[in-house]
Amino acid sequence: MSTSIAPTTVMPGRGRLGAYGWWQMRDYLINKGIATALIMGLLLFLSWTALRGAEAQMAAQGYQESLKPIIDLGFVEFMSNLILFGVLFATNGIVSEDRKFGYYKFYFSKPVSVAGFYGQKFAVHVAGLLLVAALMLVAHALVIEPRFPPSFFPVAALAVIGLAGIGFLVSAVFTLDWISLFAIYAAAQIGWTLYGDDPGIRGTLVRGLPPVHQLRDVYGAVARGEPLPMDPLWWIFLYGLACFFVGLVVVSRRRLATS
Amino acid sequence: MIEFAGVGHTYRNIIGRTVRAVDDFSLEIPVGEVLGLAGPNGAGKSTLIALMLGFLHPTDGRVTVGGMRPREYAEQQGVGYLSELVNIPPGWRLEHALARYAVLSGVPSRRQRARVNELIEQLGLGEHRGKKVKQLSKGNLQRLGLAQALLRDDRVLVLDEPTHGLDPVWTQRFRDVVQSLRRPDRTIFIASHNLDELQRLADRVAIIDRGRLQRIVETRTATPDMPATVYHVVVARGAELMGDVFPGAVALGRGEFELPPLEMEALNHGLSVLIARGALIVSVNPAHSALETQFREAVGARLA
Repeated sequence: MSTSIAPTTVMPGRGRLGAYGWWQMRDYLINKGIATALIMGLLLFLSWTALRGAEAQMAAQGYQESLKPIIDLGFVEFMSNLILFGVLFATNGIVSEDRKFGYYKFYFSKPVSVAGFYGQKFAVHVAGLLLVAALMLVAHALVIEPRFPPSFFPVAALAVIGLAGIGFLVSAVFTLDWISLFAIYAAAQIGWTLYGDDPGIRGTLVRGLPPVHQLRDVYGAVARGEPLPMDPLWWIFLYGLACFFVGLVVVSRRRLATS
Repeated sequence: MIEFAGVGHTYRNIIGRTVRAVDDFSLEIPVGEVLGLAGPNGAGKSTLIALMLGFLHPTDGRVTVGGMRPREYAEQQGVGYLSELVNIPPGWRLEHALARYAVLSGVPSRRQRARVNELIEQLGLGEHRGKKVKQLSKGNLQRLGLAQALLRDDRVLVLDEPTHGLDPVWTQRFRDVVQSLRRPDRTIFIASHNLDELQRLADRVAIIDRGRLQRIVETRTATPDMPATVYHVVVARGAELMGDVFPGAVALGRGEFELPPLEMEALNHGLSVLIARGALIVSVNPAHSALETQFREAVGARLA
């Protein structure tokens, strides 16, 4: 072993952030994608058990009705859970973990932009989640029934970007990000349902939250192959996109160290 | 190259109390210099480094690196940085960790594998290349931290407590590495508790305490008017002459003596007399280095 470090021929220049996207995808799939797939696999198994139970019960009682409405409802649940849990996993710690554990120190001593790094990480996690969604759709087809609605991916992409954008902003600002995102989601769901039509201050406050309560109607239209109610979907997408860009401003302006 | 101009940094601690971590700190570090930063725990060393890398923003004054704001410089040019705590995700494998940092450093893909292998070899990490970060000892983790800091040809190197956790062999090797990294177009900044290390490596050492610059010590210059210093002298022959030539010299055994505080003129005169009278001198060393003496003067009274 020599006692000196051989000079490198690397010339000063920018980091290869695009190439780092493959590592970010690997991290997503190992740390978050597998967890999302396992949870969705478990939920699919529970749906399958419930469906087989219902089939057996109906057959025993001599009912001849189709199970299609139940399967449609199951597909809505499947899509709703896939997107909600997928986004919770995908955005949990997306920014906050690096700050909390100090990983930012070596990333950002390298010639890469903070906003570029996290913007790309967000895009990779969204793409990774859509990849997992594709695998889960195949799993759904194998376990429940073959169903590949053409609007599944466009709707999933818009909803994922919408919800993940909010998650990204939350992670850029707080440490307890998945709890905060879930709290926002639950507050929007309950708030819109209870006070969405309220003309008073409560209604005004609730209308500042994304209309996530309408996502089930959109997923229902996907399941039944009906025309999509696009207004709430665009609303959520643009809301999340705006949150994502605010999050980028936060990560590029906020100090990285804690003290 | 690196300039701190009246820099201050204040933050609120966990109980909401305002803490002044750095106060009115001004210092210029020219290109080509190795600058050491010494100070007791909590003196503000790590805060200064975070300001230099743009991880923190000064609440007063200005920090520039290469004429740019620190974050702007780091994003355009990169900084070779080894932090005091080596924060790398514990599930990463050593070789993969270096490959990732090489990509972020901009090492071209055709050179990446070779560069990673060179550093693994040169820092003695070959047998650990497949291990996860959480399986590495403190010393190996520190060497991994140093390896990632050296991936590219950065003009600015910032090393925070670089020998923390290294064994004596690797501490010495690290010093050799830093010597080999000296270059006229490179600025090296080393923060350390180890004054002996800074004395050996740095051209100048800035001593800070309670966030303020206390003094700057030139480590390379020995001037005739240096203050009186205690010396240790070892003789192979002529021990019986020591008391005559240096009144107050204390015998420590095996030919070693501690001389009372002497100015350089008096020391040299005494040594010449000893030699003229047949003594054989093995070594003459200050009991405390000039840096240690200055450090004690600057912060020792408060810490005593």
